[in-house]
Amino acid sequence: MISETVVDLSRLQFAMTAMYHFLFVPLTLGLSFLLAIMESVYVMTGKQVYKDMVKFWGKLFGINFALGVTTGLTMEFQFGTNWAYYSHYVGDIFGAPLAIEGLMAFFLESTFIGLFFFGWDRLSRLQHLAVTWLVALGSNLSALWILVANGWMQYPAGSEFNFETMRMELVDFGALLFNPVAQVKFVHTVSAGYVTGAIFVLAISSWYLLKKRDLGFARRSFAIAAVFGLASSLSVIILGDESGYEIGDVQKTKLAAIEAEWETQPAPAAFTLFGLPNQEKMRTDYAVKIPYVLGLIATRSTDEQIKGIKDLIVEHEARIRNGMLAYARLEALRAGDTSPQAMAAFDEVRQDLGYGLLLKKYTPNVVDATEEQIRQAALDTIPHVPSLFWTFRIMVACGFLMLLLFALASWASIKRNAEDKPWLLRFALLSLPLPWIAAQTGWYVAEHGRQPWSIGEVLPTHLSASSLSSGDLWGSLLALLAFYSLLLVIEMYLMIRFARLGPSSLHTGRYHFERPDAARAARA
Amino acid sequence: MSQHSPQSPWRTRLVREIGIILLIKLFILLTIKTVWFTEPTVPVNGSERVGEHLFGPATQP
Repeated sequence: MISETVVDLSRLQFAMTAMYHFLFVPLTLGLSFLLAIMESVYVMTGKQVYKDMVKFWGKLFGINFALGVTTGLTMEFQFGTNWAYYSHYVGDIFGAPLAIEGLMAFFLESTFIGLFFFGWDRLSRLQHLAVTWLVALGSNLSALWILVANGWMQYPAGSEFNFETMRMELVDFGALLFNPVAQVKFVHTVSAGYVTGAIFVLAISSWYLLKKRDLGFARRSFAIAAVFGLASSLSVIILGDESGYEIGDVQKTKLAAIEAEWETQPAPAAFTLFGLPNQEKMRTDYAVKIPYVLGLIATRSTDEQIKGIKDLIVEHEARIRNGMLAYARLEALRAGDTSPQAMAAFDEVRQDLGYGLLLKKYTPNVVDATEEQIRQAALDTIPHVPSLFWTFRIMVACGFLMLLLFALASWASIKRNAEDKPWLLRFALLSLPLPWIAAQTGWYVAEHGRQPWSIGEVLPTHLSASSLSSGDLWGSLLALLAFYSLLLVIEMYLMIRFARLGPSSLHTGRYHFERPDAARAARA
Repeated sequence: MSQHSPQSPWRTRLVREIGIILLIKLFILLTIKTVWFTEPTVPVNGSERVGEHLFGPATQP
């Protein structure tokens, strides 16, 4: 048995590296589309300022992209180094989308990024525009395949356990690709990326407008970011709702935990806006509820109940007992009894084999687990409710705040009076961290919400980690923390330096730090 | 006499440069794989070891 410390350290390292990586990914997703839009306007209008916008925001995109690739490489290797049992058990399915993502990122995206940066003088306007759109498409396709892999972790469609190879195997690639959880996660996540790109451009442009510099450049950047951001934030909210509806269908435990639904309420269930979930006592103190809302949002009906945590624990306990039977019948198959009767007996309960594996945390001999161990394993099927409850609400609050900002910014752009509203510009500037807070809390909800599973209802996390020592893990964790922190400092330094310089960094002679003082106001 | 037809994309310098860069990338990747990734991708007795880790040792018939 691998110690809990090793499992926890492995989880900590993966969480840390994933969160670092996702500091850069959403900005890549969003900025790539913004660049494509800005360059489309350049090609349509022929106005030099739009080309300058593509080149300047492209510079920041490039810095961010490099860090995204660097931190992303670690993730792919980490599956093998720290999650070897997981990799072998589910690699037949999990490996395919990751391999496709690697090919699309390394070959497709990187080739076109090279053309984007170095092809300005070698390609025609239309050819370069096509390249920029292909960069945007490439980065979004990379996200698709990663989210197909992650979606499968949440809801393992299109796969079956093979007792002869003792691993999960892919039986339906279409089911893997069109897994509803994967599809809805993909569109929600890329929309969040678009919001991030939009906030980034909006905030920095707002700063230029507040400083009354490079006004023509800043106004246009502000306007494009505002409108793109408005569309994206509406998408992310609607698709987030869709994601929640999907979770209510196939990840009932996660939904119940997010909403701290301890009891099964009469339909339609009330929504707990705020409160203090108490996991030990299985209740929410000081709850502020809105009648009917949860039932309507999560089930889109007035008569479908949302199963509460207490009822889910009872259900899971029954599945654990089934899982013990599945474990015992699998032992018979492994011992050589592959008669039709033995196979049929295993098939009856095979879908609960993963639940049986939950008992491995308490006893190596699953079939002889005590009642206390079964009860404890059933309690383990519920993730940490208070943290899920609050991170979800922080994510949603950030989302709605950004929607408000984009609505105000779009209106100001239409009225052409954004510069006359310093309060709006400061609101935009101060909103810069919001998409990152929303993204990190969102991923916490998605990934911690599936605990105790690394693959939902198939493979528990505590059985997935490699046989490493705590020393190995502390070493790699601290080394990665140090290296990533250094990368983050370098990235922040470069981003801030170029953002402060603004389009003057393009050395065109047209912008703020390149023009004589007397001419600046007239040229703005 | 040119080896390429008048309409051949290889006559474009950018296409030749991209082609060479892709070949260099492929060479580097294959070299890295040959030098540092020589261990079998599927561990020896991998299935047995994972099976034992998850489901305990297989009992004899």
